[in-house]
Amino acid sequence: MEDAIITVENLRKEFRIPRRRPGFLGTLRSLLSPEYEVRTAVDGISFTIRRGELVGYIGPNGAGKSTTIKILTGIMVPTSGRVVVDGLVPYERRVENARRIGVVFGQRTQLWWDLPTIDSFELLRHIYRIPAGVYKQNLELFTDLLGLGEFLNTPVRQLSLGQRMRADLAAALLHNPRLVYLDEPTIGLDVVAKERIRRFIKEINRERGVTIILTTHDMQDVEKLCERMILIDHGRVVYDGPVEEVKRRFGRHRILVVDLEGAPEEVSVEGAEVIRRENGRVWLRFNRDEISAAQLIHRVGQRYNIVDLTLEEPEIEGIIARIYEEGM
Amino acid sequence: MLHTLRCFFHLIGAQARAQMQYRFNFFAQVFSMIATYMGQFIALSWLTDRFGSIRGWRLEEVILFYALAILAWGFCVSLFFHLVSFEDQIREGLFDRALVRPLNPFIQLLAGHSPIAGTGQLAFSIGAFLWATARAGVVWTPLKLLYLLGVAVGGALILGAALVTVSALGFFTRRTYTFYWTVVYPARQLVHYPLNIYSQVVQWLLTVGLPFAFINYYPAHVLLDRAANLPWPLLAYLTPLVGVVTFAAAYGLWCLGLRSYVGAGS
Ligand SMILES: Nc1ncnc2c1ncn2[C@@H]1O[C@H](COP(=O)(O)OP(=O)(O)O)[C@@H](O)[C@H]1O
Ligand SMILES: [Mg+2]
Repeated sequence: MEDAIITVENLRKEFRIPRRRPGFLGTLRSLLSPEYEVRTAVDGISFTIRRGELVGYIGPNGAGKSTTIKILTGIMVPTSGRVVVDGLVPYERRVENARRIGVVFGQRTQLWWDLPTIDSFELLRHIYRIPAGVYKQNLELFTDLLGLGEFLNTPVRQLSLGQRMRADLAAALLHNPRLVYLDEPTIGLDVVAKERIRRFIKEINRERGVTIILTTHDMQDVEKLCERMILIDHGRVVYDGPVEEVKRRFGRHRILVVDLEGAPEEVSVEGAEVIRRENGRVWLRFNRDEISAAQLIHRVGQRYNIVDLTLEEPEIEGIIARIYEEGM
Repeated sequence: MLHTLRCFFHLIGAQARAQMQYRFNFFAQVFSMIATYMGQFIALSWLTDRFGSIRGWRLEEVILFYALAILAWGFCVSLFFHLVSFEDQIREGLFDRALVRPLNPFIQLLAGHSPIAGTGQLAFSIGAFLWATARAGVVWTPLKLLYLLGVAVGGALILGAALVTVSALGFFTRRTYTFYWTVVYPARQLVHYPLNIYSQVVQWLLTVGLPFAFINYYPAHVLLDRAANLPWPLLAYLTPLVGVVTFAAAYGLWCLGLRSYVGAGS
């Protein structure tokens, strides 16, 4: 593809986990005659990303998302396969690649833990050689968009998770990267914080044309931000295509969880399918287009006594299970 | 190159500022360091007082061996000692971020620790060394001073190479403390005493295996004008060369290890 910024072909990554032996002699023996357990994290993944795309790279925990990102960013060397990012093989031309990309790992901050937030930005300014004008302009813009002003002088270790994530996002974008990897940027955040971050990501992608790969296991992130998603599971691509398509096929389903009084033996409700039961708790899957949640609750209420209820959005695990069941 | 150097100092400065937030920690470190050295020093003087001399070395001379080793260590500590804890950085995935920044990751690793405690060590080392040379009656000439500089830098590189090797092994084994405390630390302790009190095997090991004898034992002969007593007087002049060669080899191993870096298991 001509305007491809990332090409990944048949990427594989195996982790060879050394069996540790206790003590110093054990360590020495492990060094001389290592014994490994092999775990395949990425098992033959291929895809292409075009310039300016905002792609959701999604899958359940342990699917191989972070491993892929770490290879694309140059942190790790793959076991086999080909990766070209903006004309470079990232793990062979690490420094050059690093200049062009921005990275956020939601699980770990990239900032200097014990220093005021602004100090991290200053250090990055030196490391990336950001021209004074660009630095000033970006800092002002991000402070505005992300509301950084209230904690620029607070040590990073004292920031709330949401604040830290905002600071990390700003830090990853200060040097105007063409390509940004966001690995679980909304993990552990509340709804308001998630929303703010989503708005920022969208803005950066639209206004600046930055290519963004967004890793998440939150289906909402993808629905709200991406047009295309790559769904992976057990290190393989399960689906690569429009988010709309997945939503149309599987996203119409929601799940109503009800606790019923007296744990009735037989539960059946018209318009919904019982997919799980645990004593009095019942999981009902229904189609939003066919019946509204209110209608369904009403129907259940007519036949049983409801003690408690919650409504669940479709989870990635559920979608993957259905793709396996029904094909795409 | 200039950019790397500039970033290096910015990073070191940041670490120093970060450490200032934990002042107590710093005092605790300095205190424990001084206590350790007092202990070693008392043991040393007790031994030599008791026996008058060790294998032909007077107390003052034995102290010089000791002081020279401490001097090289002082130059080495600020930059390299924290490499011993590299396994923590690997385990916690902290090293990842060095790899996504446009700066040599080795430099980032070196700059990843506050130099303050190390500077305290260096000051202590220099003080102890000056005192020891005065006691041992070393006669200083400009040439000897130049020689001393080479020996101090070379010695620091030899020790630095050992610590870089320890961190490189961390890439392969995910362990670093073990290698330091069971190999490097004991070897450092051994060269606090004159090498000729040990068996031939140990002397060889400390010359060609872990070449710590070049840090103090051979050079001290020159400072005491006794180089002629060595089996090969040339040995006394090799310290800078041994330093550069071992350090280059250690750095090579480190770069090799980097290729097998996989970070934390999420
Ligand atoms: N450094 C590592 N060493 C060993 N195993 C790892 C390492 N990193 C990841 N893994 C394993 O590889 C698999 C994929 O992990 P990861 O890519 O982090 O998944 P995700 O980000 O999709 O949750 C998991 O089984 C994980 O335990
Ligand atoms: Mg992950």
